[in-house]
Amino acid sequence: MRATLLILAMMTSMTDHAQTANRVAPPPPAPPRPYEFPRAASRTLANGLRVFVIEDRRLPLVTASMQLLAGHAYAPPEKAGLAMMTAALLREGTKTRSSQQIARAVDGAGGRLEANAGNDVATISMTFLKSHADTGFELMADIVENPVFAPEELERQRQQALSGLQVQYASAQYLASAAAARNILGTHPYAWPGDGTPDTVAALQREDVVAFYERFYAPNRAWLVIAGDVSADEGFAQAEKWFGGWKKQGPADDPLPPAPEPEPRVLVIDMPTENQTQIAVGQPGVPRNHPDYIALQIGNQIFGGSFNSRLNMKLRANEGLTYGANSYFEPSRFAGIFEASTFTRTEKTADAIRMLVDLLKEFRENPATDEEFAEAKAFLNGSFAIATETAGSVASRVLTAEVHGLGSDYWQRYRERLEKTTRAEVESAVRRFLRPDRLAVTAVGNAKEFSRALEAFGPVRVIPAAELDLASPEMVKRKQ
Amino acid sequence: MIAAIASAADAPPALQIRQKTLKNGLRIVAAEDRSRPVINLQVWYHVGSKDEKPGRTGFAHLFEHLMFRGSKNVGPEEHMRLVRQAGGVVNAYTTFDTTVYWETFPSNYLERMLWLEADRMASLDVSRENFEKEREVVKEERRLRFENPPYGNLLEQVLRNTYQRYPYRHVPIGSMEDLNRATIADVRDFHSTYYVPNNATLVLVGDLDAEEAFRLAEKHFGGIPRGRRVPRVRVKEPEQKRRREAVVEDAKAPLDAVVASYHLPPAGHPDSYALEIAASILSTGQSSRLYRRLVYEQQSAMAAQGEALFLEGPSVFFCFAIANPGRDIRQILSEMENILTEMSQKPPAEEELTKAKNQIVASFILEQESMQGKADFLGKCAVLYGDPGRYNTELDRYRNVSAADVQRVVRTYLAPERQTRVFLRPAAARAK
Repeated sequence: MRATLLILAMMTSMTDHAQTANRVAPPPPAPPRPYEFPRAASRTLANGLRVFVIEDRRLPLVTASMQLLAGHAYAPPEKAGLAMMTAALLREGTKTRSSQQIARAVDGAGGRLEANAGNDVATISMTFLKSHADTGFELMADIVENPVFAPEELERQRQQALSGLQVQYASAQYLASAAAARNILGTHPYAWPGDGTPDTVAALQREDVVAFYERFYAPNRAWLVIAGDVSADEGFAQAEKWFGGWKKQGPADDPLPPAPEPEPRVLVIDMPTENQTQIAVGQPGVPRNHPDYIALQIGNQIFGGSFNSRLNMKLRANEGLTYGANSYFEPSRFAGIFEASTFTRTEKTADAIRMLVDLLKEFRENPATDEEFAEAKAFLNGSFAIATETAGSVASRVLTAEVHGLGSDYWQRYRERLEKTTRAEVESAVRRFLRPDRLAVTAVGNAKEFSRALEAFGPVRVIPAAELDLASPEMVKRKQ
Repeated sequence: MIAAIASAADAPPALQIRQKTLKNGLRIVAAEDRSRPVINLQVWYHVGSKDEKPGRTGFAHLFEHLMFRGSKNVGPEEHMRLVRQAGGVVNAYTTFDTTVYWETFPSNYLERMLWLEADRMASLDVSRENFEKEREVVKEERRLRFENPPYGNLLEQVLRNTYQRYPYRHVPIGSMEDLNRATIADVRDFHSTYYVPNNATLVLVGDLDAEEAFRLAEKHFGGIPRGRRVPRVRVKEPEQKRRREAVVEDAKAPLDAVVASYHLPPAGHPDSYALEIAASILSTGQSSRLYRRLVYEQQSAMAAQGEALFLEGPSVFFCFAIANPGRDIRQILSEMENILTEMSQKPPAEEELTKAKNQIVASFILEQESMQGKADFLGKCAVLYGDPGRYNTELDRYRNVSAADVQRVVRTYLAPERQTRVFLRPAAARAK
C-alpha cells in the first residue's frame, strides 16, 4: 500500500492519539436489512411520451415530473436564458387560464407546480395531495400543452429576471460558478449561463420563446414519471387522459459536440469590496453515461466528495482556511464539468489554490489507498437507501436513468456494479481522466491582492465584474 | 377551479411515539417507521445563541463545530468518518434556542451512532491548536454567509433594531470580535453547563424497535452523570408601544430593501396557528396578497414576503421586500402596510382561508416525507413545546383556525405602533 504523505500524516496523528488515550473501539454493526430500489412500471404512449409509475403509499401525496429535451444547450449563446424564460412562462397563462387563475388553482389546493430548465432538459413538476391530484394533472397538462406566452407576462418575467440578475451579479458565489463553466468549457453549448445575462435577457423576443417552445416541447422528446399514492393502472390512465392527446413531433435527439480539450488558464473576476475569494478549479468532465462514471465517482469521494475527503481535511480541518472545500462531477448528456471549489479570506487566496492544485496532482499519482477505497465504496453503497428515501428522490433517479440512457435496470443493479468496481479500475480511470497540468482556475474577489501570484497556474486574465459578459465568446462587454 | 378543503383522507398516518427518561435526566423520544432500513438520530441540546454570555456572541455555534474535534474515544474528525463508513450522513446546526446534532444511517448501525453521540456528551477533548483552527473555519463561514453576499447583513440589522433587551438581538453566527475573544476555558465551562444529560433530548425515528433503542441508549448514556441545574434566560423584552425606524447601508446590495418586523408570542402559543395562516395568506404562492399586489400587479418589488419566525422566547413577524430598479421603497412599505390594514379590518374570505389551510396541510405532509423530516418536527415538539405528543395534533390546530381569528391576530400583533422598520440602502446610492 502506497499511502500518500497526507494520508500518512493523518493516520499518524490518529494513531498517536489512540495510544495516549487508550481508546475504546466503536460497537460493531448488526446484520443489514436488505433494501431494493423500487420498481417503476413503464409504458410508451402512442405520441411517443415515455411514462413511468412508482407506487408509494406511505403518504397521501401524488407527484409527477416531466422532463423534455428543451434545456439551455438548445439555445444559442446570444439568447442565453431562453430555455429558462420559456419554462418560467408556462405557468403564466394558457389558452383557457390566466396566470392568476393558474396560481389560484394551485394555491387553493395547497399544491406545487413548478417549471424550470437545466443544461439538457426542462422540468415541469407537480406535487398535490391525493384528494387534489386530478387538479394537479389537469393544470400540469394545460401549462405543458397550451401556454400562450402573453407579451405582458413576458415583460413581467423579464423584469423579475433582470432584477434577480442584478442581485446575483453582486454575489461572488454566483459569478464564480457561472464564470467557471465558461473558463472550463469555453464556448461549448453547456458553457453559457442558464439564467442568461442582463443583456441577453433584455433582448429576448416573444417570437424566440414561441419558436423555442414549438420546436423542442414535444412528447417524443419527453419522459413523465408519476410517483406516490397511485397504482400503476391509475398512473397510466392519468398519463393517457392528460397527455395522450398531445399530438406534436419534435426533431430527433441529435448529439451535441464533445467537450473541448482542457487548457491551463486563470480567470480572475475583480470585486474589490470582497474580503473572501470564491475559487473554482476544474477541467471538462464526462457525460453521465460514461463507462468510467462509477469509478470516477468513487475517486471523487476520496478527493473532495465528502467531509473526510483529502481536500476538505487539508483546507478546512488541518489549515482552517475555509468553511468548505469540495469537488464534484456535474455530468450532462454529452459532456460535463469536473470542479473543485472553495473560498478563503483574501490574503490566503494563492495559498489555498496552491494546496488544491497540489492535492489534485497528488491524487493523480495516488488515487486511492485500500482504506480510502473501502470507505468510499461503503459510503456510496450504505447511503443508497437514504438517498432514495422519498418518492420524489426515486422519481428523480428514474428520470436520470432514462434521460441519460443508462438502462432501465440501472438503479436495481447500481450497488452490484459499485461492489464489482476494483481499486485498480478507479486508479486507471482517474489517471486517464485527470489533467492537473491543464486546469482552469477561476477566482472571484479582490484581484489586486492575489492575481499576480496566480501566474504560476497559467496565463492570467483579470476582468472587472462590471465588464463581465458571460454570453460573449471573449467574456467582456464590447466597448461602447 | 375552487378547491375543496383537504379531507381527512389527506391526514398523514399518526406517528406511534414512545418516551423514556433515564435517571440522569436524558429524555428519549422514539418512533418506529419500518418503510426503509434507515434511522435518523438527533441529539437536541437545549442551548442556543440566546444563552450566550455577554461578549461571547457566536459561542454556541463555535462550540457546535468543536463537538466534531474529538472526545475520549473518538479522534478529531473521526466522528464524521465513522458515520460515513457506515453509509450514513451527519451534520449539526445551531439556532437561537437549540443546538442539534443528527445522523441518518442504515438501521444496522444504531448502536455505533448512540456510542458516538454518548462519547462526546460524556467528554470533549479539543486541543488548543484545533480550537484555533476551528475558530478560523467559523470566521470563514461568517464571511461567506453574512459579510460578502448582498443583503447578508440584513437579518443582523433587523434583529438588533427589533429587540431592545432580549438576546435574540444577535444572530447565532455572532460577531468577529466576540469569536476572537473566546477561550478554551469558555469551551470547558460551556460543555459542563449545557452539554449534560438533563439538558438533552434524544430523538430517534425509523427502522427500529423502541424497547431495543431505549436499552442501547441506557447502555451508552446511562453512565453519564447528571449536570447542575441548567441556567435559563430571564430577561424580558419590553412591550413595544411606538414605531421604530432605522436606515442601514449595504455596500454589496444593488437594490433597495425593507423589513418591517413585529413582536409575536412564543412558539406553540394558541395564536401562533392563526398567525401562520395569516403569513400563508400574505405570501405563500403566486396568488398570495403580497405577491399578487406588489410583484405581479404593481411590479414594484422583485420579492415580497410575510413570514413568522417562532422561537422559544418573544418571536417575530417579518414583512420583507426588495424593490425593482427605480421604485420607491417607502411606497412599497406603505403598500405592504395597506395590505395588513385590510386584513385587520376584514376577515379573509372562506376560499382564501381554505387555500391557506390546504397549503399548510400539504407542506406539513411534504416536510415529513423523510425520517429526518419526522425527527425534526418530533424534536421541536419535545424540546420547544415540551410535549412530543403534539406531533400528532398540530394539524388540527391549524384546521380549527377561523377567519375571525386571522383578523384578530393581524389586528393585535401586526399593529402599526408595534412595527420596527429597517430600510436597507445600497451604499452606491449615498451620493444621491
